[in-house]
Amino acid sequence: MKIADLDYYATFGDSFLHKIPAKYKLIDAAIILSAVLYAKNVYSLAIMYFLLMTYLVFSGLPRRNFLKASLYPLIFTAMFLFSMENLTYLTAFKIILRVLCISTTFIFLIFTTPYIQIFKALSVFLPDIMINILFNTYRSLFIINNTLDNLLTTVRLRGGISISRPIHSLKTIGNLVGFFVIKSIETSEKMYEGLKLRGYSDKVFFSRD
Amino acid sequence: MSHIHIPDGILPLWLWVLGYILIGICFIFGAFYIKKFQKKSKFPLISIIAALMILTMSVPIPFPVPYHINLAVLAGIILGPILSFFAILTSNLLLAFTAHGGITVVGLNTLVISIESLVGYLLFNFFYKKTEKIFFSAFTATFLALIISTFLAIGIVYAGTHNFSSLSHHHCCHNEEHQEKISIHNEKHVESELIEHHENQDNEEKFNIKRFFALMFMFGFIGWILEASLTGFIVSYIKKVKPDILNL
Repeated sequence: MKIADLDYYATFGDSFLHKIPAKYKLIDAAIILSAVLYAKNVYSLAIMYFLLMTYLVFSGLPRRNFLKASLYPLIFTAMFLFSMENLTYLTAFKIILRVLCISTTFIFLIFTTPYIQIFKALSVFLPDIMINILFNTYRSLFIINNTLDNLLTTVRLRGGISISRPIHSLKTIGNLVGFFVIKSIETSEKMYEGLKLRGYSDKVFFSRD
Repeated sequence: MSHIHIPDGILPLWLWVLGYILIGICFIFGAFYIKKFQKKSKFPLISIIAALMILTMSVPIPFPVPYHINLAVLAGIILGPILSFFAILTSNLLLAFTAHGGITVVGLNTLVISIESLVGYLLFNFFYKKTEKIFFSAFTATFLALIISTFLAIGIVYAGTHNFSSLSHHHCCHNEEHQEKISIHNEKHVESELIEHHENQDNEEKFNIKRFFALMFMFGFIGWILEASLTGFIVSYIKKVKPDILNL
């Protein structure tokens, strides 16, 4: 799922979870993470996942997209489980529930909290350099996402990518990404000049609200 | 694919804490470099490359497993190994919030991909100086860097999971039961109990590194060729249109 879509739900959603301040949600996520990591009993993990799912039912969040995002790590968990010898159902359930509990918790966080609010909460203990780069990356994501969408549409309209011609298609995608990289770097230079003109001093300040 | 795609809750605490400690050390070193060499003007470029990595990482290529490219070697070639570390850390952190990679493994993921970027950067410069063939240099550097980082990822997963029975708690229970039985039974039964114990050990849950390696290699190999070709074409295009970006 694209970060732009997640950001849309986080910014424009109006569930009760959206109203909770980001720092409390981060603390909550950390508590759940610790509890899941230390839980040895499959039943306690199952209860935790059941509670998270109950939250989802009453939260008013888009369930289909939410589940799609939270179930994504299962693909890689399956790869790990396939590598196990003499795996019992109990251990498999334990691993799957652990993975699902943690992924669901963080998807809750990201579906109900805009990234900017998370950066603000994290700025208490993360160094300035990191907050600076996180903030600029978040900003850049939306700027270059539009450029990428336009480029992909252009290539598709001109029939540039075809499975029957794999090398030609790879070359087209390579040129496209190359062009995209050059354009993005030019954008970053303009962005920096613009920020400097507006008084940017390599530090990000957050408003109180 | 060099990502440690193992989600949260599988790798042991000591391993992922060690990952965070190591990237903490790299971070301090990187921050010192930025301050000393006045690289703060590079923040928007680092951010753009991080955004580029996130966009490419979040677009799965249709494949038996959802493979994605991560452009770590390209980041290394454009930014250099130190600044690319910050781009990699940022993209991993932002993606971890979307359950892509796990929040506890951000440190290990960053470490593996940063090494991939560093190796790719060094190999690209080496091959380009020797051959002056841009596509070949970028392709070979990316391909070798991906192999190295995949082996590193497999090694890390193995280090954290070879003693897998501690997670399932079967091993300790068997041992306790076994000790109890030994103390209760007389000597005649000890021999048969030991045989039973060995049988239990054979049926114990174990992480099979060979099987995991085969899976990673099977899915990874096509991905390595795909990513290496793509990086080759991207770098060739940049060399033709705006060579100063590559700092050759």
